[in-house]
Amino acid sequence: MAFGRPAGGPAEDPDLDLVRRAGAGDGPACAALVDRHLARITALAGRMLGNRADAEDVAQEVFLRVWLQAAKWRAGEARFSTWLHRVTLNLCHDRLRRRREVTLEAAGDPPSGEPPPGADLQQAAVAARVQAALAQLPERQRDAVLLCHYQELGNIEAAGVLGVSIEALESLLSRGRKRLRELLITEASDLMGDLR
Amino acid sequence: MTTEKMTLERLRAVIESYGASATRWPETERAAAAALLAESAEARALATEAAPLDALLDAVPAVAPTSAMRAAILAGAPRAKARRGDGWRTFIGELGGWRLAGGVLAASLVLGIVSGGWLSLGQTTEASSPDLLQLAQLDDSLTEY
Repeated sequence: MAFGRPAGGPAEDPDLDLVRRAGAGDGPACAALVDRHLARITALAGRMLGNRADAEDVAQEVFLRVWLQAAKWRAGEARFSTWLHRVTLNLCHDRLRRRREVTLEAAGDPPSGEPPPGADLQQAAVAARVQAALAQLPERQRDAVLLCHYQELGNIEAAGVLGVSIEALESLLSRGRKRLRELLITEASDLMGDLR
Repeated sequence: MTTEKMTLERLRAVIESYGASATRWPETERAAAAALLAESAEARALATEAAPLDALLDAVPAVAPTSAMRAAILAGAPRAKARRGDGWRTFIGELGGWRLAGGVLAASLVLGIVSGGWLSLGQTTEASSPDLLQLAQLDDSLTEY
């Protein structure tokens, strides 16, 4: 099983030196670590949660954990970026669970149709439909699609983040994409037209 | 290096999992998949079929971090603890390092000795001025009463 083992082994973790220096309180190393990962982590949280405010909160929480962990980081267990993605997904899952509890209590609509910020109207409508479809996927399938499609993690690293084998990752991905096609297929040509 | 041939079934599984873009395919299988795509129309049809879903997924924009958020994160970053002697090291550093600081300190010492000697010489000259002598003598004469 390919669990948490990056290609080339954890000794080749490209973040290892920065993490160690950040743990020792080296300011430029902390800044470099943030610049290297903040955009991807914020993007992942944004796509998981569907809004900027929650994405920013999660990204800040992720880095609080980075600062706590950096001084005691042990090489060889997982790549730093694998751990970072895992922490981000866990924090997003917690928020989505709390959101579901609140939604059930309030018996309101799920917040999935909200158009993402920063896009024009048509594109925003398409994005909102796709985001809603992603939100309907079972948790593990959505995680797999987000990690491989948007985060562009290699299959070994994505499998490591999810703690599954490559075969299991591919099964999650193909079922996830199949479900997305079913959810979007009736409107696919309209949506594609909106994108042109 | 020879590339192992990929079957159409495996390519179908790869495309169904990772989509139509080769950049997302498993690194170790990319070359074999590309070779199969080049020679098989059926393989190309699989990729063409998967492309629209990729395009729809790409329509969801990324939330970008703001500079305020970056600053807030860095404000919570760990800082190196000040060690004993760091104050002196900083002071010496500001003086231009040990060599330059040594020169500055030696020059200060010499200047101190020279100016001290000069000042005490000046005070002696001042004390021996006629007015002060007169005052001193007055003082002496007062103690007699």
